[in-house]
Amino acid sequence: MKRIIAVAAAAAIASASVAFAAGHTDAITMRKNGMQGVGLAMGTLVAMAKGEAPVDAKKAAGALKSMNYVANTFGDFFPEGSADGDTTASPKIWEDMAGFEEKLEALQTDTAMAAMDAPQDQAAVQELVGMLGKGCKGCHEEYRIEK
Amino acid sequence: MRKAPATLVGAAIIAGAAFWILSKPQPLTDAELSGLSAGDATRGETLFWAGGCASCHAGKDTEGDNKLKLGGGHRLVTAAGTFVTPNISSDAGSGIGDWSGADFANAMLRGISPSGAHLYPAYPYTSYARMSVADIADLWAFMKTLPAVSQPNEGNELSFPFSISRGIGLWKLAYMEPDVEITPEPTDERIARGRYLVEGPGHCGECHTPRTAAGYGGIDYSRWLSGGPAPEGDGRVPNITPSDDGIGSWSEADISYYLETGLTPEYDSVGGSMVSVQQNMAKLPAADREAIAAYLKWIYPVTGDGS
Repeated sequence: MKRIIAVAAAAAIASASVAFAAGHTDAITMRKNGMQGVGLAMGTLVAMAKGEAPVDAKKAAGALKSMNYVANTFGDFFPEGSADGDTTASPKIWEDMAGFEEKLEALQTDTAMAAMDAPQDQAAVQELVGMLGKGCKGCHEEYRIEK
Repeated sequence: MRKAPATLVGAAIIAGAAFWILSKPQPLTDAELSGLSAGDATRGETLFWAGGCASCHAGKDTEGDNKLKLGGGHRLVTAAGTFVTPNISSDAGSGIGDWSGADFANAMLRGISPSGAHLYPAYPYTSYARMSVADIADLWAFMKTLPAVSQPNEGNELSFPFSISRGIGLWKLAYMEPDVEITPEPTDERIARGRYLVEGPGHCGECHTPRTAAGYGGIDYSRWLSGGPAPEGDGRVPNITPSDDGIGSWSEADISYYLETGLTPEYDSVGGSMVSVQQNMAKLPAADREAIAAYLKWIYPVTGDGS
C-alpha cells in the first residue's frame, strides 16, 4: 500500500512538473507538492528507523530516489515574484539564492549517494534519517518563515 | 514664552518621582538568596539545555562544543529595535566571569544586572523567574565550567521609548508575575516536571503565547501556548495546545520524537528559530522530553493561532 502511495506521489509530482512547465500550475503549489513528496518518502524511512516497519533496502532506495527527484527539480519553482501568496518560503531565498541553492545541492547529493548505498539494517536507517533530518532542518531554519 | 502654571510643574515633579520610585530595580533579598548553594554542575547542564542559553548566546549555526562558547553577539531584530545578545561566557572582561552567584541569581530571577540596572525582557527572565534558587545555583555551577570567550559586543540599538531602560521597571511591575499560577498544580509527578520545564527554564510561553498591549505587554495566560507572532521576521509561532488548531492530533510519543529528532508526525522537519530550540531539547534526558510531552497533552486546549 505504501509503495502504491509512493509511486502515485512520484507520478503526481512528475505530471505536475510537466503542467508547471506548460504554465498550468503555480510555483507555490509545486513547492508544496514537492515537499509533501519528500515527507512521504521520509515517512517510509522513519517507519523503518523506529522499527514500525521491517528494514527493506529496496524500499528505502525507492524513497531516497523520490526525494532525489524532488531535490533535482525543486529549484525550478522559485521564480522571481513567487514569494507572495499562501507560502512559508522565506524572502531570504530570493535575497540569498546562492546559499539556498547550496543547501538544495546538498540534498541532491545526499539522496543520490544514499540511494546507491541503501541502508541494510535498522541502525543504518537511523543514521540515515538523522543525516537527512539535519539537512531538512538546516534549510528550514534559514529559508522558511516561522509556521 | 508663558510660564507653565505652578500646578502643572508640581504634577510633573510628582509624576517623575513616582516613575523613579516605581521603576526602581528590586534585587533579591538576603533571605531569598540563602538557598544559593555551591550547586551541582552536572544537574546544571540539564538546566542549561532546557533554558536554551546557547540559542542566543553561542554563535549562530554552531554545533557540538561550539554551543558552549557563549560570546553572544546575535542581532535580534524586533519591532522595538535591535537587541545584541551579550557575552555570558566565563571571560572576566567581556563576559560574566567576574559575577558572583548572587549577581547571576539577580539576572535570572529578577532581570537585574550587577550594577543594578534593569535588563531587557528579550532575555526571558520573566520565565526564568519561575526557577528554584537551587536550580539557579546548579546552572551557575555549570556556567562557570564553560570556556572564556573574549569578545566585546556592540550595544543594543533601540528606538524611543524602548531605549529608556528605567521604563522596564514599570513594565516589570505590570507584567512580571512569577507567582501567578499559569496552570493548576498537577498531581502527576511527570506532568509536574514538564510544567516546571515548560513554564520556567524552557520559557516556551514567551514565543508560543500571544501578548497583551498590542504585543508589548505580558503573556496572555488565558491563551497559554496557543501561538503568536514571530518575534523576529515573518510568520507565526504555532499553537502547541492539544486543540484542533494546535497539536491535538499528536500523541505524547509524537511530541517526544519531535523534540528528540525535529521530525513532525507528518515527517516535516522543524524550522526557523525552533531548530536551535529542538537541538537543545535533544540534549535533555529522554524522561524530561517525555515530561514535556505529557504536560503539553495535559494543558487546556485553546483554539485559534494567537492572533
